[in-house]
Amino acid sequence: MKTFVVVAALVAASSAVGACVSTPDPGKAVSVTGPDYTGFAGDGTANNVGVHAFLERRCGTLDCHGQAGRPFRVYSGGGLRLANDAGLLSGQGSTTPDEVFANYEALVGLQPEQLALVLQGKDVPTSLLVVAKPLALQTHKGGPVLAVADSGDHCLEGWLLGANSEYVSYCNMAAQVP
Amino acid sequence: MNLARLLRIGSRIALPAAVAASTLAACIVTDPVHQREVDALGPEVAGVPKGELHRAGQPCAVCHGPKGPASTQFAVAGTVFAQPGDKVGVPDVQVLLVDSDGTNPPSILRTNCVGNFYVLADPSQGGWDPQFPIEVGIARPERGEGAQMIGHLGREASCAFCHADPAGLSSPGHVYLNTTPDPNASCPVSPTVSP
Repeated sequence: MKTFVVVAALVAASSAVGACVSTPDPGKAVSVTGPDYTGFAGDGTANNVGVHAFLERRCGTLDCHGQAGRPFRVYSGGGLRLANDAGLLSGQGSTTPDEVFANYEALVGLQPEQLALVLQGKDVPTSLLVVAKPLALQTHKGGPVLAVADSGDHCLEGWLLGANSEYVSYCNMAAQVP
Repeated sequence: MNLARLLRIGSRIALPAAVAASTLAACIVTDPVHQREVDALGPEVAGVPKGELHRAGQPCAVCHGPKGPASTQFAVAGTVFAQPGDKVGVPDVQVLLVDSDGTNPPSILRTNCVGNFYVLADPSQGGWDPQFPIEVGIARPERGEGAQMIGHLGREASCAFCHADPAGLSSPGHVYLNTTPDPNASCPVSPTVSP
């Protein structure tokens, strides 16, 4: 009996070690499908500031998501700057196209598989951290920064659902308030 | 159960309980991350006593926050300097704060002679319990000087948390009014912070 227990323990241990050192499959990859980038970036006019302008305003301050160490890292002219050749520092100049795209990548890269499910209509936007946290449906260090059905919520969820362009005007509104 | 047996059981429990209690107490008292932030501020400057004139330009709420070690807790605090290229504190600057509920500090905040200002966090002590985000402006109306912050305070009580020196990709540098310091201004300590 004692021998059996020892053998069983060794087998379990070796299989556990084996599982840890197994070679990753180089062919395995996550296919990332992002929401509409045009809607994210806007067109640079006051009539279509884009989702990014709202995110910069409401999430991207230096004491919140305008920090390099955050997975959802938000660059902006007034906050954290992406390294650039123009010498632009925090608070100088407008948000650059590179920074807008980096913000888009940060958002899409948070939960790519779950985002794909939302975009395919197989799950709801509130299943995403980027929606659930500001609505305080999940723990958020910054507390609730959006309310259900406010302009920011309509902007973000409308863009993710992509059913129509109504979200554009909500983003314009949401980007005006702190 | 007799007394001797009770004592035996008690002696078995006492040591583990004492160890657990002391471990828990150590966890509660010491936050190494916070302690590192406090230590990073360095010692007091010689000749500047602890008080409202000390540590101009530093992130006040590191110590004057919920984790201490200062006894007073600030809702918002910072320092206003004259220019981006120097660190000369400016007195009598109004600091205008509006939170997301539309409330303000109970009285108008003004910087002291080294440029420091603060509002206590406890309303029962004349403080303010703001709801972030907070919009910020600074002004000296009698001189026609003023500036409004581009963004807002998301959740941080110390201006210098974001407005650290030197300016860079992640900081706009210290808060400044873009004014000329008054050479005749009196102050018990120097309003100039050494780099």
